[in-house]
Amino acid sequence: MDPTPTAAGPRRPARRRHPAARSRVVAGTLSAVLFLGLGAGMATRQSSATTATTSAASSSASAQEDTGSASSGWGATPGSSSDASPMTSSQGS
Amino acid sequence: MATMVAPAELRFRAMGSDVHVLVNGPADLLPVARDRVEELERRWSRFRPDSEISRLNALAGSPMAVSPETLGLVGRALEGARVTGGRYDPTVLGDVLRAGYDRSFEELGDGLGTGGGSPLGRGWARVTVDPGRSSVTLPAGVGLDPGGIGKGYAADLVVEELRAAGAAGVLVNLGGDLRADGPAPGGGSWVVAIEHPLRVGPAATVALDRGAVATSSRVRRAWGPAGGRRHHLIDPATGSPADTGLAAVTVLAARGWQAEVLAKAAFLGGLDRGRALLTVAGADGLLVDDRGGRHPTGGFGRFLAGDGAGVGR
Repeated sequence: MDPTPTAAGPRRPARRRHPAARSRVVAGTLSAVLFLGLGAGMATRQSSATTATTSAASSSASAQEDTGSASSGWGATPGSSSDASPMTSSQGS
Repeated sequence: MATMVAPAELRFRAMGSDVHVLVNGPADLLPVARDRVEELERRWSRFRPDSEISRLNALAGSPMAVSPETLGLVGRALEGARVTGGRYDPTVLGDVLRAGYDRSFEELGDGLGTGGGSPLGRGWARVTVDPGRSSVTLPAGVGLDPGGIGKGYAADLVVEELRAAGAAGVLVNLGGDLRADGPAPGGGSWVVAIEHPLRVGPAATVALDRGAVATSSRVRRAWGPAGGRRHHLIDPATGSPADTGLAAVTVLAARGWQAEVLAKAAFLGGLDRGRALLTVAGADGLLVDDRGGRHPTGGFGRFLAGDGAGVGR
């Protein structure tokens, strides 16, 4: 499904699917590592039944992904500016 | 080197934050961006009783039909919870209310809210999304707090929509959660200052061609009287504002919602686990400890602009 239709703004073009699959692989790997280690305490408190339900839902969310770039997984693409002044800032939320 | 050309830009307030939109393209896209951000705020604000999120929380226990945008937001929030093993949890609303953050930040000031009696619990794994019916069901007694991820996902949506409408490049910054795509004016990269949470000036300045930046900080969105300060970064393991030895975490990721999820999860994990989380995710970031020390991930140096401001490459 398309997560972005809007009455106020334009619509996006059709999405490519293969980057979404790549995103799911990364997400799956991350999830596995976290379940084994970093997030074990919280992860083990999730029941298998409810996790299955959520996984189905979140797979749908992943299927909506359109990376639209050559970057892999969840990584950003570095720029090349070496001496430009900042255009904006990230101060935390 | 690319020639620096000024972008069309617009600043305004929305989602309790300063919004900054930069467009490499027609300036008439700027009001389109503002309208869209304000529309998403009307849908997602938990401080508006008529928003979709408020109605969803009020209907916990029963399915509710939602807009495609809200369906996408909830799906991504659940994805974030799943991939971080629950360290990022979008259902900490009850804990946030009990900590006193029960009204917009402009209204809260240095005071303490009266949400101490909230009975809401957590339960992201029991939230269900039905894409076929475009509906979401929250478990009874569970509330959704989309604050951070809402800003990141809103930036994603607006950037992608403005690009589709003809902008060569766009950057949308919602209170420090930003997404950029396409070339900056002059064909260069987007240059972003990461503010130091404990000192005046930037902790680093980064350049990216495309992607997102999000910062989770215990210094911002903190409230309450001196000696009893609280902040909005709730640890799902304790239900209380987290004390992990970190002051802030900034993450560079592909998308705004991903950067937001990872920044919050890394902050809650602390320095070592947080850095490991970012590495596993394929993202990069800068973690600042309570003493102001800067701890970049291994790949963070690829993004540094200028001389790196003393951050190790």
